Amino acid sequence: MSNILNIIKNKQLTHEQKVTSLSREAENTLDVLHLSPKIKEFMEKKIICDLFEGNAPYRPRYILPNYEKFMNQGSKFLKLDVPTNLYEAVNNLLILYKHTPSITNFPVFLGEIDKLLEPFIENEQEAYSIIKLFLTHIDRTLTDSFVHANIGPEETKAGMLILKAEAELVNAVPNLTLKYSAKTSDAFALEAIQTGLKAAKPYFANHNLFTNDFGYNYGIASCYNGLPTGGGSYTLTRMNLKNLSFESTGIEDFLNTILPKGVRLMCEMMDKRIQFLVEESGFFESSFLVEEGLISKERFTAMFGIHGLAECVNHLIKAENIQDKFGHSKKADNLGLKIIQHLEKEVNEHHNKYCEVSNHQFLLHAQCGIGTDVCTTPGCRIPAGEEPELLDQIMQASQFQKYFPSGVSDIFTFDETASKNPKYVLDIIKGAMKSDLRMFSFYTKNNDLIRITGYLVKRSEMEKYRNGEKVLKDTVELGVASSKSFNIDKRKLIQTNN
Amino acid sequence: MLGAINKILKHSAVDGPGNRFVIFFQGCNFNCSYCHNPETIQVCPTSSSPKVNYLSVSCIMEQIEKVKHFISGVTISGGECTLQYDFLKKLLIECRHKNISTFIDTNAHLEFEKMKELSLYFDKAMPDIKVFNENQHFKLTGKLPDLVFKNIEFLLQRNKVYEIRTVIYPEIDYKETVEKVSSLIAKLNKAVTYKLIKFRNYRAHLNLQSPSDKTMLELKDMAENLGCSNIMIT
Repeated sequence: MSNILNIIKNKQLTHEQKVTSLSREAENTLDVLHLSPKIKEFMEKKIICDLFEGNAPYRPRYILPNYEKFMNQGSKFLKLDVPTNLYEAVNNLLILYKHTPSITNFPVFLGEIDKLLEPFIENEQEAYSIIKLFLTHIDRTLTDSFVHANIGPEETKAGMLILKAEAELVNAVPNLTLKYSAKTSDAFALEAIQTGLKAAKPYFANHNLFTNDFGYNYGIASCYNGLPTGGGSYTLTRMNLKNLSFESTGIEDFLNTILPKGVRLMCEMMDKRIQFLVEESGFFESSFLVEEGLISKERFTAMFGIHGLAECVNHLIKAENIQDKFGHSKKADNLGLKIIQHLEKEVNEHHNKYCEVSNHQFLLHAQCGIGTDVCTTPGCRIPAGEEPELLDQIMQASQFQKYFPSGVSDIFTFDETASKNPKYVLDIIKGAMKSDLRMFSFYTKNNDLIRITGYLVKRSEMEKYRNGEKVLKDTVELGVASSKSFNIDKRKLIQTNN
Repeated sequence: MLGAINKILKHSAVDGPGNRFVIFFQGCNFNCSYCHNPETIQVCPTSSSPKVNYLSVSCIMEQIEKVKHFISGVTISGGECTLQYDFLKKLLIECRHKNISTFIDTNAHLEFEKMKELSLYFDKAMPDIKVFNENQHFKLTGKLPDLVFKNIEFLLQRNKVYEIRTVIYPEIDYKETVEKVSSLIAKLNKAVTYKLIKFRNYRAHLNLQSPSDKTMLELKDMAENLGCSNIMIT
């Protein structure tokens, strides 16, 4: 009860933030999942975590509507006709966004907005103004950095206008990904790089890798999560590999006993969450998104997340000096790979009847961490400040990223001179994609808008929050905590001016 | 055959277009007082420099192979790379066999016939022109400029120049230099960039200021008026 009163009286929260927090409190008064004592034990030891998804899941964590279908049919429920011009197209999308839930209560996927708007681009000058208003509307009303739009891979007029607008506006929302492939023109990629060096977005996603995993109907949502469009993910939970390693007596015990045990318990928890959502919450029976064919249960999967791989490996091999540690030593990296391969095998052996789209299997995810993490590096990254030389880091990360179809990324920080030679960045990205890196993310070190662990926040907003002021985006608070926990300012700076 | 190599960078944004693998050769036949890589000038006669590595072409090629997907090409710099002529030529030929583009940083003070031959093996040169005036050139570098200009004119005619650089050093009036170089570029190959580099005092014993922005812009305007369309100030 005191939690609820604290939320109500909190002067640092906007009204919308209070409502979201209060709804979480209400949900968490329930105990309907009936988790086993063993699961609860692992949760108390901070080995398994439900990422505060709530005690009674009533909507899927991530929903990726089929926006193309929506634009071709309009909506009966929302009383929207098929758009005939850019104003109507933008208006229809903005309305649907407000009715697309997720774990954050904001939409985590806005669609391939360049392809959605391209048919309506006539006068480019006018289109640019409308696109700027569209993006500004998103930033000021969908006030959460996990709201994510996609463009590409082909160059379009709309795509170019979106990139130019993002470079001009420099807003934290939406997050943005360019699906990158050999079909992406260098001109489009270079425009994206120039935007990225100003606005810390877009991500460059390895379109070949993702289409191999999902076919062409996939989207990048929330932080950097690859998921089927027309569906999404019921849930994301995560396992702290560092803390799990503390349960073991050594490498073999970890691989053969402790890791399988952890996987079994977390899969059991995920099964319960999915079962409640699908069989009891009534979401799939009542949502107009399902009725109108914009999502279907058959296109949902679930995400098995991990973090702390670096610390897990370093603990198991008792590495103390940097040259022996994960990211620097073949022995450490090989163990890391072995752990991920064992993990994949264990997770793939589990079967969930509601995950039809992913062959009834959960998908691995490299979770980007939360602000309360202590000395635990996100996903399978090398700890900030310990990164090796740039190309070595990319080639190391590439070995791991291919195992995580539902999301993984590495973040690279450039100095200001990169903007004078964007082809330099493009060459690096091309090499990264050829090396099977799944997601390449970058920003310029001293810019205001930066990438925290997967989402974007402005330094100036974080400063306001630290000073006790209200901020519009709920993710600013997360950014403040995570910046500290993950030593973001210690990220290796790639100095281009030697 | 081994080359005396000061340093290798697997990625660089400032040594030609795109990302480039850069090899800094040890040893230089100039001795510019404003050199920002002075540690590359000397070569120990008994090969005892602790910071210099003696590497084979195959060893260097192995390193290039590992990162070839990440680079637009290789830039060979220094020091003055043409001093190790035979080694450089072998390296350039190897890169060509592997379809790896090569640029060379050079002071262009190489025997003309050798420069003609070498130009068959690299893709582009990025030569420095220190200063046009003979006396000033000798005072700055210890060498005369005639051969430099002869080589650069030849390379421009063969479309073998990516950019020409001149460091704008205080105490020298560069109007004549910029005029001569811009006219040459405008006459022979307008696509070439002329990079005017502001002197920066990397060596504490030099009590000198960088040239003003006004000076740099005046030189840029002069170059543009002479028909040189790609001028960069750094």
